Amino acid sequence: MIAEHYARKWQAAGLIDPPAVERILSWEIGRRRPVWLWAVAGMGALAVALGVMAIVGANWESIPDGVKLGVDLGLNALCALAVFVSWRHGHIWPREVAALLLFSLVLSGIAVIGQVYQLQSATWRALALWLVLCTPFLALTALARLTGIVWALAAVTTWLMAADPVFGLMVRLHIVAPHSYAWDSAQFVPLQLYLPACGLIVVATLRNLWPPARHQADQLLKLAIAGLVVACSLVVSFDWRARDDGSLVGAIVVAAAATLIAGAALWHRRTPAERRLGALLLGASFVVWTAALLNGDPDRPTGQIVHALLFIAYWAVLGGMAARAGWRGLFGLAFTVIGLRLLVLYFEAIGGLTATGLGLLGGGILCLLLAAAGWRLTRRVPRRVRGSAP
Amino acid sequence: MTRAFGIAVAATLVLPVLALAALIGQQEMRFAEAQTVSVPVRGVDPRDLLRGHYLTGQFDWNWDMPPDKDGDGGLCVLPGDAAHPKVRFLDGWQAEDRSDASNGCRLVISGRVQRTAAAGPTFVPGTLDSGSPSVRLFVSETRAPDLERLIRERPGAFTVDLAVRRDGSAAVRALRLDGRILGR
Repeated sequence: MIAEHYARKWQAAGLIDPPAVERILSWEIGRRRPVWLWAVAGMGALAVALGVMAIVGANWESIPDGVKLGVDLGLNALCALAVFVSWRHGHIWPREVAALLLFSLVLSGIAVIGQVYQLQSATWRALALWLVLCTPFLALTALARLTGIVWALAAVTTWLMAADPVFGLMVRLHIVAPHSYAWDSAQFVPLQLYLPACGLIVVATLRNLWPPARHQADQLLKLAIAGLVVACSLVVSFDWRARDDGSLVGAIVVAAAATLIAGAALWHRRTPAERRLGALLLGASFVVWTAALLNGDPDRPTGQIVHALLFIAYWAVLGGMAARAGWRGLFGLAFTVIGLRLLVLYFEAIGGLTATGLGLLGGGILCLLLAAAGWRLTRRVPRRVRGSAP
Repeated sequence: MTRAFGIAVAATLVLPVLALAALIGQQEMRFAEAQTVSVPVRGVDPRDLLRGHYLTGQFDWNWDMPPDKDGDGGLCVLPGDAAHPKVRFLDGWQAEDRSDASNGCRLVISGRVQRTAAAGPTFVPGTLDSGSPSVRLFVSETRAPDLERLIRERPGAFTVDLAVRRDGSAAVRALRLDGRILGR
């Protein structure tokens, strides 16, 4: 229906002739799938699965421990067999679904063993064991983008959950100053955000070495870059530094080392244009991250404005990079984010009702001007042909 | 697709299943040739409201002589058939320790003493130590609120059976309420 709507619209605009419209519609009809029936069937299957889980959950206490453990092990073994059979026969979607299912079943197995035997270890240990057991089979059998995203989210969650032991290690290595809790450290939290993004760039590069996994590697790289931008934006959005945090040298040296390793990974097997973009992105991210950390002095009233300017400069670099690479979506996003930050800056700088009104007027006009400028500039950004190098 | 690659894929798929089975086997091994000691659990404040079905508590040891400092060592459970046997801390005790210190103990549990401002010294077995003086015990959703109230209002009613091996390692064998097994 959507295809017909657009085909008729383009025909009315004189872009395509009536025979072309008929060819498009007959091709679309030939590829039509009963999406609604699939949706209803999917909802039915989900309802059955949730019903089984609810009944099992309600009677969980009545089920003997041996049965719980035996069923869990059996389901894991069956699912592993399903992954192997579908992998051997080249059935892509059954293999991906079974691999994801096995990934979640292994975690549930670890949780059930922990419950039955009242194990006391920290959550991050269970998650780390889960990743150690599942990463090898996911690396060899699961090549879909979605599986890559799920694995990356699991890895980042494990990293965040392991905050206390990682913080303890960094304190022992004199990278960060000691604190009662990891979250109190203004050096550790920015590092905790920055390091996984650099690590994921390295993982994506390693994944890219295996030709069948290149699409997944591209997705992981996009996720890593998005993570890096989010990490730097968060670090530059808040005042992190406390009075008792001591020297920042250790944290900055670690971040620099991670940036260099990620840069070396991005350098590998890339075109000169991609290398320039990678170097620009990593360089700008590191400079902004470091500047935000150095500027984060709560005693300085100008710190907030400097942070805002850093944020705007960072997104301006991202916008410029997007314009050069022909990424219109990112360019538009950069423009929007800068506009929103300027609006927030207005509110941060003013006080009182009259001043708030003036702030709203000024911020609104600024946003309108930015939107107009963005519209003109976006049209000048060359559209990137899908699949071509930036 | 080579034969070696197929074997590698099969090996990576067998790994998680074997590892889970090995984890179960390891826990069962802990119960083999182990002696059991029953320890009451007392409630602690603030209870962790985010832990769902986990009941947070501390072992309520019957100290013969309370330890005066934190540290690693062993907990000597003194002989006697009392439901709440007396215990004594052996500072620096290790499993291979054959000194006279552990003579006269029914069994020794390896772990560490942590003193808390609110509840005084407590001993946490090394194999159950998650860094905090408390232990988290999984209980059913329906019984959790009653049990939480009970461990505060009737100290000693809720106990944990610890299976202790000769090397001092301890594992939770069962949870009991008024002597009746709750789980496992």
